[in-house]
Amino acid sequence: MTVCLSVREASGVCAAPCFKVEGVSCLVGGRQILGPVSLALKGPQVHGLIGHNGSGKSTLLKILARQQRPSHGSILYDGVALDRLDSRIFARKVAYLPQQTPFAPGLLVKELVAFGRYPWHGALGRFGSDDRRKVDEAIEMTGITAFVNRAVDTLSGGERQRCWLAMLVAQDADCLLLDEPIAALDIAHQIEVLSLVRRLAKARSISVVVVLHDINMAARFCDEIVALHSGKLLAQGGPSEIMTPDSLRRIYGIDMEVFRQPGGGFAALPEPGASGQGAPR
Amino acid sequence: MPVNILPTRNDRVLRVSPGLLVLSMAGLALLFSVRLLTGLVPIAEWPDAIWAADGGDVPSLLFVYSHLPRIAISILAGAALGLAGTLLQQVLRNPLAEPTTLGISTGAQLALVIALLWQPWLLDHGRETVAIAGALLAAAAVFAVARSGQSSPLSLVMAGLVVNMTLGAISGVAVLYNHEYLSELFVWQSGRLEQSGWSQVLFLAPRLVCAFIVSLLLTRPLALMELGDEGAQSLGLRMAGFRPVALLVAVALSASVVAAVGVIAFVGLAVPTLVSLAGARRLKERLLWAPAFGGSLLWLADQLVQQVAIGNTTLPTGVATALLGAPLLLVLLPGLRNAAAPPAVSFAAARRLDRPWLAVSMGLAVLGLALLGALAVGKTMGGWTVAGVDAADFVARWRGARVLAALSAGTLLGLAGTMIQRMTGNALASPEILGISSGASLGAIALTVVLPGFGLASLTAATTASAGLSLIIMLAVSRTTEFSPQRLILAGVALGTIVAALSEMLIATGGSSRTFLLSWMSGSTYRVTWDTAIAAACIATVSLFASPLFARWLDVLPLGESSARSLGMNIGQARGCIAVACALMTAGATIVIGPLSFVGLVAPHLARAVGISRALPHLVAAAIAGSTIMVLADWLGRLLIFPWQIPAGLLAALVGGPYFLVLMWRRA
Amino acid sequence: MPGDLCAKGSPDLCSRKDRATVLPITRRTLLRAASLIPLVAGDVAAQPNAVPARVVALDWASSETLLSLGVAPIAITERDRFLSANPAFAARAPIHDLGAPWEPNLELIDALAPSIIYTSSYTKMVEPQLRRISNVVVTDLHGGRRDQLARCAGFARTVVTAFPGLADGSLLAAMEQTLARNRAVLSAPRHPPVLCVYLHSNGRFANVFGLNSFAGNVVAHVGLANAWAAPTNSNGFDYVGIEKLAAIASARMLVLGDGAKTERALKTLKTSALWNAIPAVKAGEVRLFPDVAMYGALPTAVRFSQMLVDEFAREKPDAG
Repeated sequence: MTVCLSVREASGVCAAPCFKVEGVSCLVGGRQILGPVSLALKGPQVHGLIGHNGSGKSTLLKILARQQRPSHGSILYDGVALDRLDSRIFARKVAYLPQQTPFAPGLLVKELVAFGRYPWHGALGRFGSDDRRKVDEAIEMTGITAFVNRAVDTLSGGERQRCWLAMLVAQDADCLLLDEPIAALDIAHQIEVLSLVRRLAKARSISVVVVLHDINMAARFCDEIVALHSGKLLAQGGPSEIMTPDSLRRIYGIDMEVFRQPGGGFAALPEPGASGQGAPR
Repeated sequence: MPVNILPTRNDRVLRVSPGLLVLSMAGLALLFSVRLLTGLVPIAEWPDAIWAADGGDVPSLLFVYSHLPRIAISILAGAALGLAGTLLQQVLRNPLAEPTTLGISTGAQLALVIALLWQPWLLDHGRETVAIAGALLAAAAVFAVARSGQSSPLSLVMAGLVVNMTLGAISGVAVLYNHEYLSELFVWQSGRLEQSGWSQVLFLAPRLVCAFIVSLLLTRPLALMELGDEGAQSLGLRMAGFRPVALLVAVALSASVVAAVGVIAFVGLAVPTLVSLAGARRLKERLLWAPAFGGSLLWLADQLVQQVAIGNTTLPTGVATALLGAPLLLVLLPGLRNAAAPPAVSFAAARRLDRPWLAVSMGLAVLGLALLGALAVGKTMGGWTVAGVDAADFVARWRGARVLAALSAGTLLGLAGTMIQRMTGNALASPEILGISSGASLGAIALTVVLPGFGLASLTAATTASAGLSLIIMLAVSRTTEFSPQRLILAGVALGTIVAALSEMLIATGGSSRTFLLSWMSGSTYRVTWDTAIAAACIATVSLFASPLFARWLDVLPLGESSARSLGMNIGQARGCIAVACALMTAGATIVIGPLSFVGLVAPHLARAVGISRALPHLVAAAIAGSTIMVLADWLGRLLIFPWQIPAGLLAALVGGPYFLVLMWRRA
Repeated sequence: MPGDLCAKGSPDLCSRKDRATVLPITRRTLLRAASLIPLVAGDVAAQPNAVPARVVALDWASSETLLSLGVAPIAITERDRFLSANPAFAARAPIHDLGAPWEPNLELIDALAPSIIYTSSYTKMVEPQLRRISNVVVTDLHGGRRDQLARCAGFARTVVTAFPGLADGSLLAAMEQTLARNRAVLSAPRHPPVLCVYLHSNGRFANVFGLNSFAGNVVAHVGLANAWAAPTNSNGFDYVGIEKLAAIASARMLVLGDGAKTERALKTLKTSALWNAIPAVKAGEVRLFPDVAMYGALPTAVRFSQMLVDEFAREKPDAG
């Protein structure tokens, strides 16, 4: 861990923070819901985790975020075993946004963002000028300056999601783990939030691992897509490798047509007549 | 308490089918019953005994008018409670809903107390009618308060909790000052099934049958309620119609049980859970199995109770079910899936103060006035007196320690309540749910049994030791889940049930310690000496100054477990520290004024209602609110019915309860 | 009502002249009283018109003992209920109520500046506080194995000694005489054993009094056998369902009354098959004894013993 810190301090950015997952599996009630999975996530880029319902993508993300312990296998972050890191040190490196953010009645946006500094000052440390600066920076970057003094629970879904992202930004981590951050948003807000995520990743040279349901969004905003199927790693590669009818059939179990957009993007649609009968269960 | 402990679809924790379970329990109960009955009348003579009872000898009389109706009533009451519990839990979608959650038991009790004390002619029209009327009124009050919140399950449970507390306080005061009726009421409260005829059976049986038929007719709409209000409504079900009917049936049925045999703890709570653990998933199955299960369970429990004589009498069946059932709840815990965090019931502040510390200092001024009043203004045989400086000695001797104790206990409970509510993210939580005050009471209860002529020193030692012990148990039970709030709440509920049952039994069976227990448990500052008051003040001061240490944790924890963990918080460590701190504070307060939970529940809400939301000002404001309530309650308790005194805890519940209900009613 | 319930009037042993005059209490007299009264009341009481001893009683047993000896306390606990249970003392009713017996009002006791406080172990927790106000006498009349009547009489004697000019020794002598006269007047084989019960108003439960109870002591004193031989709690009673009473054959049931509550219980029980089949009820052997306190002192013992003797002596010819 000290290695990474010193590298970061020396160069301003951590050159290649990465997760290395080796033979990780997860059993719940005797049933294997994940793995064994081995893969490496290299930074700094945006990784999309996709797969059918129950493919284990959220579980994998939770294991990466140390929210859940794997039953077997090991995970290294920057060459250090995940369970050997102190929880605050880990939180300075990796930030996680749960799928469902709590309601937090009465909490102001600026207070929420300031919580992002917890890994740095801890339960008793002083909230110093450095913390203040990072919070202001995060607020500015996520474009929520207009409602810093409003209560989080009075905001719309897209605004709220941006506030939570601001908290993660203030956390100043090298890697963001986002669990379906656009699940409850309309298409405009989906684009808004994912653009923000991508902008952040590029501006700060950090890695992002984001669980997404929508393959088209993943293709558009991710540098690399990791596809899981029934708890196993199915494919890993750039959008152009994943966005083929063949691999999409393997991922989702239905026939899909892939279109190339003029700007260079991809779009996939189920073929007319595809019934979804082959969908994985 | 809104905790989801129901197993999900695929869980079948008990590897026995409900039928086998019912059969084996009923078979065992039958075996015991036959053994008991043959001891009285040989089997060959049973027909004679039944036909010739009225002219017959004493054994056949007991056979027909005592033992047989007792078996019948145990089966009927168990079945009725199982059915009522299933209905309540289904309608409220809350696995901890049971007759007591909705104020049914306390409502019935208060109605009986009032009738007994002031309008005895009412009892001529049947104790049962009075009890049911009271239960219905209490339940109606609960629904009325929660109505504006669209009768959401959580607001119902919350309203039930507060109505319970208030009604319990009213009957507590009434009985405290008419204590010739004390043992009667506590007998009735500890659930004894002794029968002296068939009248209770004939009363309960038709009601059970009616309720059963109605609930079978309601099965389909009730099953849809599992989808939640919106889901059910979208399927065209008008919740507004079916919910009240189902609730009415459940309330009336459980009130009938309460009227017939008193309060039988735990059956209404446990049977529905156990039935679904045994694999009865669909509502129809549960509605069929729950009465069978409840009936055989209570039959068996009642037979077991009769096998073990304690001195000349036996354990009250209601106490036995609580004693057996509460640990069962703890044993079953690991098998229950930890559902998602319980939804927070919170009084989201409508407004938010920009300058919370200004409000805090204003609260401080109010507290100062209350202190001044409590110390200086009193009554004596000539009427009102205002103590001047010359009376400093008198004030210091009689009021100083009491006021200091009230102040300290209020501070401690306000702090502990805020911590627990923020840690669990549950506005229903109070220091009592940690089981610490229950544990402390258990120590006091044990002391009254072991050492009837105890003094203050041994009381302090016993309560401290047992509070510490229950803390250790509580931490051990919930350690594996990183002290998850649900586990803590369940452990606390289990311990609380045991304590309530034991203390009711002790109070019912009399002895010189019972009035002590009663007044101690109602939060009286009467016995406080300077030593204990100063000790409590020290604990309160230390806690107050230590509270900033917890502020950051308490700010972040309401964000939820995963957010807190991703911010690098060591959840287990933080919760463990907070739990230990709360336990110490609660123990400190309990030792001084008894197991009083109302202030710990209400003070944090008051602070929130004023508009204080950050953890540190919230802690301080709740401490001030708590101590103001306690000081005022202690003061008024000494004045209102002078020369008699109302224990501060009871008075706080008496005045604070309705206030809280109005607050809920307006806000919801 | 099954059986003939005879409510016996009690011989009033306590309606003698009143010596403890009551002064109108004002704050000033109180303060003067507090400063004037020496710790031992006797000196002052010896002078006929002096300020009387300022006695405070915190338990009913002390209260009835004091009042029956002519020493009127200025304050007792639960005054109104005490007076309605003991109408004989109404003429010399204490002026002040001290509140609940388990939480007597300490501020008021202090303000009353008593010269002596009588209490039982009931208020043990606040004994140190009481001792700071005045002299405290803690009575020990109930529970335990020792003869409770002897303890009650012994306590009455200490009262007479403590208030030589105030307490009427002749009243004590009369009471002790009655008690002595009633000793072993009745006897077990000739008279049926008795079952003392106290009915709960729902008619399902009763307190039964064993040998160790106050009532049991009186029953034993007059020579009767107690039909309840089963173990009891430390105060000598147990609390049972009425079906337990059915198992006791050939006993006379003495229902110790508590006014309306007992009436209600008997009314409920009238229709109960089980109650009507209890041997004592069936045989018409149920007697109502109103207002016999569960924790009485010498006056109650005397009254109860006389009631028992009157009840059974009447039937002497038939018995045996």
